[in-house]
Amino acid sequence: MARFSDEIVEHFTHPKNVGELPEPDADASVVDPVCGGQVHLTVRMGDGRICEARFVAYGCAAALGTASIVAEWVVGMGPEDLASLDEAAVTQRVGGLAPGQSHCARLAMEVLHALADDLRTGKGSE
Amino acid sequence: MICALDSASRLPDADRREATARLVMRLFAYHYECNSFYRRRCEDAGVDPRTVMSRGLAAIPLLPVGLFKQSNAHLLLSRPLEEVELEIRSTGTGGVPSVARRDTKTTTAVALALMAQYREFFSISGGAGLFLCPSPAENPEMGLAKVFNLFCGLLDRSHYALHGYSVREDEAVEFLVHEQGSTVRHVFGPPFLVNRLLDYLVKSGSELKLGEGSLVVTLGGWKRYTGATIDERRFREKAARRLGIEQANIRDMYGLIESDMLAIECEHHHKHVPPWCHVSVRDIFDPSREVPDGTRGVIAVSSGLNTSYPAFILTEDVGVRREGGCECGRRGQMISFSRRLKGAEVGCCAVNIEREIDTVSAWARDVAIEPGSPPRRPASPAR
Ligand SMILES: [Zn+2]
Repeated sequence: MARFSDEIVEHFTHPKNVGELPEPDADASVVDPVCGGQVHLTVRMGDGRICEARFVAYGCAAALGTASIVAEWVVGMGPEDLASLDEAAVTQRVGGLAPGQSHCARLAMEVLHALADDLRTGKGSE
Repeated sequence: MICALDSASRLPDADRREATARLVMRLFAYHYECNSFYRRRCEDAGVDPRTVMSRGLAAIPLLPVGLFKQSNAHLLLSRPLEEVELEIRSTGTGGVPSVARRDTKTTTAVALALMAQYREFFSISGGAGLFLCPSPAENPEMGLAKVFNLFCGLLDRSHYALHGYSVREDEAVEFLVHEQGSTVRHVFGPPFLVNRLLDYLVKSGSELKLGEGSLVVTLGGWKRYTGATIDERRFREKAARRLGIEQANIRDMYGLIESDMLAIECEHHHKHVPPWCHVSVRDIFDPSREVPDGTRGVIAVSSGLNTSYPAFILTEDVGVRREGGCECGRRGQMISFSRRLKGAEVGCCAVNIEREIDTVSAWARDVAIEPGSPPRRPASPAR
């Protein structure tokens, strides 16, 4: 396969929803201790579902592209939807990851699960 | 130039300057054309390829190295992401990685350039190498690991004595002792890790006799994450005594992953800038101003190899440049690093490795793991 999927190329080159929401309903940050990649997600809720999301990410191109895809993807999801997503679902959504990029799916899954936890226990569930 | 590095390093100054300038100017014109982000910066500075032709390399607008840490780093690319083959990162104490993305053409050029420099400065074509640094198998994107690992292709045997940020000094000594008499033995690693091995030898009262032809090659800086500095001269004396090796064969290298430059020390401990790069030292308070040779300032490195991004980089390192002949017979630019710029985060990969090693040892102690067996750290710290 190509080194980067078309989706990763598009989102890396034209990242969408970059930044941080002021006073978000929930947020989550994860760091990959091996590659140093970082993702920070902030979301706003409406009727128990995410209606707006922003991301800030650092690291390899696949991690940056994946973070942008994830910020778009989560809109419309509730905490249970987020918690049910695994690495395979992320990999499929980003159009596939090359072998050396699999840590990006793990990083995305961890931030999604951390966001689900924050929604269940934090301000997001109120 | 890469394949004839020995003669390129001995060219008369005027010829070498002209060859380097031609390479760098050609790439400046290329990035000015292909990279809209960089072109805007040039336009803001009132610089175009004609300006650089008339005013010289000092007129080239520099990219502050901090840009490589920003999340919109896609703007730095002059080629589409599809052409990016290799991403290399460096992570300092701040934790945000700086990432350099190289296309196939640049990756080939840099790999060949490093090999040519290793051959020119070390003449390694075999032997055994002890690596006191993370292996690329564990850290495939780490610049320091990648640069050291290139030595493996020249060696007959290699051994990494760092596993999951757990250092095995006993294993390191065992490897060196085991290879005694069978082949020439070299040691590679950041200064603090080699120093750690030396302290281990001091503590156990032992001295090795690596002997003639053996090298100790360091990279990663002399500053420790604690803020303390390892004294280079004392390090060389200690290494010479404990490893049984000539001081002339204890060599440090200086580079940063974003530039295509690795400045390697010759036997006289002068760091030589390869002729495909141009180093300019800038006024600390006004980086647009070049300072004369021998004056301390911020190091700027311009590459004549990089088609991926404009590798005309203003570092956060303070140092001195000199130009001319060296006792080793090479001519050209030589640099010495003095310190990090005030306010810049401490060091790069090596500093972070040392901090990780200390974290892992502390964690291993807390959970009473057998010392030396690689502990698995808990996963990502989430906020
Ligand atoms: Zn020299």
